[in-house]
Amino acid sequence: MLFNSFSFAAFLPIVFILYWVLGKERLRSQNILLLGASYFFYACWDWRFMFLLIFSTLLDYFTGLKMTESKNGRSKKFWFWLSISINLGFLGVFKYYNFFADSFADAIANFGLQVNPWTLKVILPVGISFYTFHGLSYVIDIYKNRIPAEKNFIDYSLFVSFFPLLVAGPIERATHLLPQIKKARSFDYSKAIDGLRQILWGLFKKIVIADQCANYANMIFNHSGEYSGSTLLLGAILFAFQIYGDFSGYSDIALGTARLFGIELLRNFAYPYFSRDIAEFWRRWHISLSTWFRDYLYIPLGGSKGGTWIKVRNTFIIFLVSGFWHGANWTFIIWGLLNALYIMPSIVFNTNRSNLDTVAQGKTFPNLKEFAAIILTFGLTVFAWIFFRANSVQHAFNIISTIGSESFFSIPQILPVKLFLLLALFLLIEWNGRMEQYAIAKFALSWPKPVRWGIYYGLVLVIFFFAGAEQQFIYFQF
Amino acid sequence: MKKFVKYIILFILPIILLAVLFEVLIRRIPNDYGYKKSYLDHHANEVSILFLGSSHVYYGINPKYIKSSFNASYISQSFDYDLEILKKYGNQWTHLKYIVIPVDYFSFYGRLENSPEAWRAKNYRIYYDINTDHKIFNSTEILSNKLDINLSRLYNHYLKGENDISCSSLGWGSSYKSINHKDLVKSGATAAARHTAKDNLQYPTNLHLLDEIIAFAEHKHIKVLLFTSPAYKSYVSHLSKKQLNTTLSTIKKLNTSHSTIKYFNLLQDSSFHAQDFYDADHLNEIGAKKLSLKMNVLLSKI
Repeated sequence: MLFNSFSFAAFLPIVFILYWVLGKERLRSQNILLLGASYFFYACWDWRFMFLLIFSTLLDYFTGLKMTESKNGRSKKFWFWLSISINLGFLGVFKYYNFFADSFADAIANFGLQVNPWTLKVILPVGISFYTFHGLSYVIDIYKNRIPAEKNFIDYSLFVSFFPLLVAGPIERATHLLPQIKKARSFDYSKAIDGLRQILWGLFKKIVIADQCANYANMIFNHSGEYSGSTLLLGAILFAFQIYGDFSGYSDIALGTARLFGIELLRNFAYPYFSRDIAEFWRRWHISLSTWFRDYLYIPLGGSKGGTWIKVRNTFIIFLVSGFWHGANWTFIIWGLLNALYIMPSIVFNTNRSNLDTVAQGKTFPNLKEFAAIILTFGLTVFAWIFFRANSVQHAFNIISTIGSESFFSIPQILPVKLFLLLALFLLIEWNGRMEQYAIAKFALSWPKPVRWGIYYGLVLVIFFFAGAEQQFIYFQF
Repeated sequence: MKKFVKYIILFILPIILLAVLFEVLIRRIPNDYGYKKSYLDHHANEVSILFLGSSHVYYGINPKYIKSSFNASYISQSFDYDLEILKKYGNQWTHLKYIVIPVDYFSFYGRLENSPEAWRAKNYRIYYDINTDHKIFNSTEILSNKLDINLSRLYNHYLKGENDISCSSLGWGSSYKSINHKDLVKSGATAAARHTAKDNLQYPTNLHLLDEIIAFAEHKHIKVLLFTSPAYKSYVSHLSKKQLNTTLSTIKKLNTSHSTIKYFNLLQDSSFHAQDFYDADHLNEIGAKKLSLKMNVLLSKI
């Protein structure tokens, strides 16, 4: 069940009404309802993988309890590593086994030996990277004595499986989400309206921006050999907007949906394409994953303590793992390493925290220096996206070499003028709302209701105008 | 909560009313599916030769040249819809002597619902009263087409007086004109790639459906003519040998096990030349006349 589908449009109001009819006095019933709805939502993808989700939930729930009950460090350590290894084992088997088997066969072939690796013919269970990371953070937090184990199985299961975040995040933390699940929630009109507004903006980003950019980006990347350097660069830029519209649109819908149920999820995007350097970009892009890696990998590895060499090493490790997290393909690994290289100067010269505020705060336009920094950062990001989008490393290098050829100076073979206008409008709205959690959070709030509603109707109309066949969200494959 | 529900209803109501209005207006636009159904509703008992199948027949056979025939085929119409059309008029086929169905390179490997033309499935439900799936999308015009397409249909019909009927009075698709022909070499490669299946998951179901069509015909004492449509050499040269051979051997088996069916392979028929094709796998009006006359001769042989 996709967020941009009519089945979800029917599912959400039903769950919403039932949920609030139960009322805050029946917190347990509300949580059971949300859990049942979440399992139904997941089963709509593929009911067989429900067992994996439930097993993963049971594993972390029981190992969490066992760790808390452990009277000595050894026993605690046992349960901890049992959970970690099984969680990572599942992830490894479903997501990475074929990659390693094929890579091994390719490596062996270089020595003139032929092996036919046994590969798995199963599809990747949707959301496995996300719910596994939920479980891992929970188990690590218990092991590190940051939180006690959750005793209520329903509450814990809901933390793992809450449907707005189940298939593509944001990657939640037990410290943030579990207290909200356990606390009585009362209906708040302004929050519910805010949630709907964010859903509307998320749908606009997905259907109008991402899907329209995808039409051109897919055409250009899938037939890259037929296009000039300038067209391929355009394809990479359009992919940059596609992936942003797609994933941040998904996150907006997830956050807005959760808010309808009185639950606040972690923010996942904060206008990353207005970043002035790569460090700022990574504080604004897929925030829940970046902070997850920071808290559960970078800091345990020593973080920024221990000198420049340790910082450089740890930074490379988290970007490498981050690339690998996205998928079992060398293209993602190079994408991760490329970002590590980009960020390296700021790590070495300790300038990675120089842009903590929002660009041009309190001003209408950025100054020339800020503008140049935004363009440079965007350019570097677009270059890295080529690896992310390409089918193989060779494909990416072919694209880059064509971009670097004389044909770069030709007029692109594809010039989607209407899409350019749409993107310009989109960037304008995003720029205008860059201080808010999402671009239209405060937009026109002080204007008369008929005007405001007119804007919302306009957005609905544009969404329907561009809506075609339901398009999968990119991050579902991770 | 009451305030929230009140405003949501107030906000959504105009959208729903507008959607219903659009749906009603679009459904009133005459189209090929509605026309074919209406024709069969009134004339099924007069038809003695019925053509079914996909675009190869829709554009390739003009019933004008074949007495008492009707072309009930349509773009991407797969065996399941062919069967449903037969069953729908089951008792009205009082004069039906021959059913002509193309068994092409892709016929066993795909179905309308799994093709890029899946959006057409709603037309069978809305205009033919045929339900082969239960998707809500296939029950409405507004949910199964993009808004801009629907708006242009409304504009073209209600403001310009045009309709969506593109077939002749006997169901032949007349829009593939020789003067607008496509690049035969390029279209051959792309069509072959589009028709080459990634797997054979649909094969058993499609074979079963064709069996059912044959059983239906046998029960009614109707003869079945199966044929593989003519195609240009650029299309044939790009076909997967495995898929083609499986298709041909399946037809051969069917042909030997049923006395009521007859099969003709026209895939590389030498009487069709470049000027007969609109693109590498569809005939134009010249080719359609040629195939229709040929079909007349073939039907007289069985």
